[in-house]
Amino acid sequence: MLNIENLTVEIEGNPILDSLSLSVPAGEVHAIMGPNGSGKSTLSYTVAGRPGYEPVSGDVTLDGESLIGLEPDERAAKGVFLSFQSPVAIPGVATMNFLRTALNAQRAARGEDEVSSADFLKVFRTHAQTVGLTPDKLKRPFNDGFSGGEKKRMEMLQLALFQPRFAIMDETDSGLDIDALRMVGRVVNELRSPDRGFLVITHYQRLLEHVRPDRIHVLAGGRIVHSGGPELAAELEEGGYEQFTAEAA
Amino acid sequence: MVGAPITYTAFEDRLFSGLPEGEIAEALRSRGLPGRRTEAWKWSDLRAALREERAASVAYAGSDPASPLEPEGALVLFCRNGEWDLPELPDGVRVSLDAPRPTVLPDADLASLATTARVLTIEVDGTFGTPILIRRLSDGSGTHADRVSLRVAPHGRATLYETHEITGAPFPNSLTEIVLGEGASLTRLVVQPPASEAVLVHTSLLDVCEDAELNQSALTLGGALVRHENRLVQHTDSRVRLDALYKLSGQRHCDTTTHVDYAGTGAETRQLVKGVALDRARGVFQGKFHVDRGAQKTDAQMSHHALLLSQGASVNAKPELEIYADDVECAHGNTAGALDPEAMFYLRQRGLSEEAARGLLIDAFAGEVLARVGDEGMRAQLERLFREASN
Repeated sequence: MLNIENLTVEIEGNPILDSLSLSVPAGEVHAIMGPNGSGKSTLSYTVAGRPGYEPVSGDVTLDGESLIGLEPDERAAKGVFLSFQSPVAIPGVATMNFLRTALNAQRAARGEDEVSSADFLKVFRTHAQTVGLTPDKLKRPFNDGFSGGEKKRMEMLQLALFQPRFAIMDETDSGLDIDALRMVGRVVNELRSPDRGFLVITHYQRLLEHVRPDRIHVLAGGRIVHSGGPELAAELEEGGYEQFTAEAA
Repeated sequence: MVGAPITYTAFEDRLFSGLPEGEIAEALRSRGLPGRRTEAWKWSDLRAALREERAASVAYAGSDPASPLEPEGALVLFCRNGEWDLPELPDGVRVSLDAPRPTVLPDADLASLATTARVLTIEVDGTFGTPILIRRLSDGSGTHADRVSLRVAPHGRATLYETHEITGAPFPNSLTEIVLGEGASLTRLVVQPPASEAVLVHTSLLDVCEDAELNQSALTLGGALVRHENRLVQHTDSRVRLDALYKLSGQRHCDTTTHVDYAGTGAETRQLVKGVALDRARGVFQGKFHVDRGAQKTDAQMSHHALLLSQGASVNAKPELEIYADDVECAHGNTAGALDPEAMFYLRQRGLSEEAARGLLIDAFAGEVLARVGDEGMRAQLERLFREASN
């Protein structure tokens, strides 16, 4: 499904990702854990195609097709979804109008029919309830006046709405209380399927108690320094990243 | 100070020779048309824009275009190349076309020039529920002027919509004088669709008496050189909203200049001006609140925010507060910048093309000004006009 091969990314001349390779097969959830500044967000931005995060070398493919060189919206239409670490608020942009336009733009790019307002509203309301966002919040401009937690709920609402082929969740758990973490687990677990993949970036073990990963990778110094099964989360919690970063150095 | 005599441009030569002798002719001849060297016009070089020979406009040749604003049931007054066409009038309003009343207005050369035009006087008593729409249609490549004087009686209410619908490359010069009597209220909307070849100067002089209320919004899409100048006097406890929105592309230029004098206590002013400039367009904002020593408890806020969407686009802004009273709340803010790259990436990650994402953010930026237009129908028409102008 998602294959990252020898990916090297420099930001303003500084190497951030250093020949990183990683493969997430369809149907699996992989987690990336790593210390601050290890390149976790750069990885997510590079896969999603953020301007300024073009790789120096290497490739990222989804189902064998390279994503490098595609516009962010083209990647979105191919099914790449990024749940942002710090989602923006966009005053003046009506939430439902934006999300319906975005959904239909993706569908149009894939040659699918437009979703009518009525159908959209029905689906949207169901997901809003699942993630715990009240109707008055959804009438506001996008994320306007939302708390950190509410913004993360809005990210999960969109994950459920867009039903992407491959989702990257960049520290979705930061700033969430226990109930919200459970909600994230519910949304992700419901979406897990043989033809969908997830890359969950996190600092803590606690999210992985709700979203059990197939593999865990330790990212340090811009490369994967260690990989293991779900039990790795507890090891990291116990012994910190040093045991593996020292090994890499 | 006596400077070197001015060498008139071809246009000035013809203009000044045709002016009736008097103070206006004298004042204009001594200064020439305002331009780069005139402080108040330094970013809008009218003299250069009007360098070429330009005759008086001939009769309006085109057919009337569809109005950019369609207020329901409005009383529509047409002014075609400076010639008025008056309809039958309903009760509650008096309209007359009067002889020119030449007066020299300090610091308002161009307004002075328009005082040579006949005066369309509109008087509204009590509550005149019918909105008044003044459609100024201009074409050709000549010059013409018009002058409107609106008086709203004490405690009266009125709604005035004005459009400048220009084709070709004329130079229309408009003067609107408004007196809001004590406790009166006026909603005013000025709309100017794009006119790439035209030069337009519209000066408005507004006297807002005690307890009166003015809610004004302008949407302008610019021209070769366009200037909307509003000069207000606010009296005790008057309330004014003085908003404007501009969107300029190509090489269009728009200058929004406002000057508010506070002649009483406790007046309130809210001014929000926002603009979008693309390609090689230029936006100009000059705002001044002049608070006299006696104008205590004045509460005035001025904001100008511009989006610069191309390397070649530019905005010049000069927000000024001149305060001589010690118990006032006055503030101004001014920003210019590009679209937020974080927001752009977010929208595109969700599937919007670059063009769609830009459009959404530009509309959102402008939305703050348009949201302050009280009438929902008019707001929708302004949103459409704004959106249809190229991004």
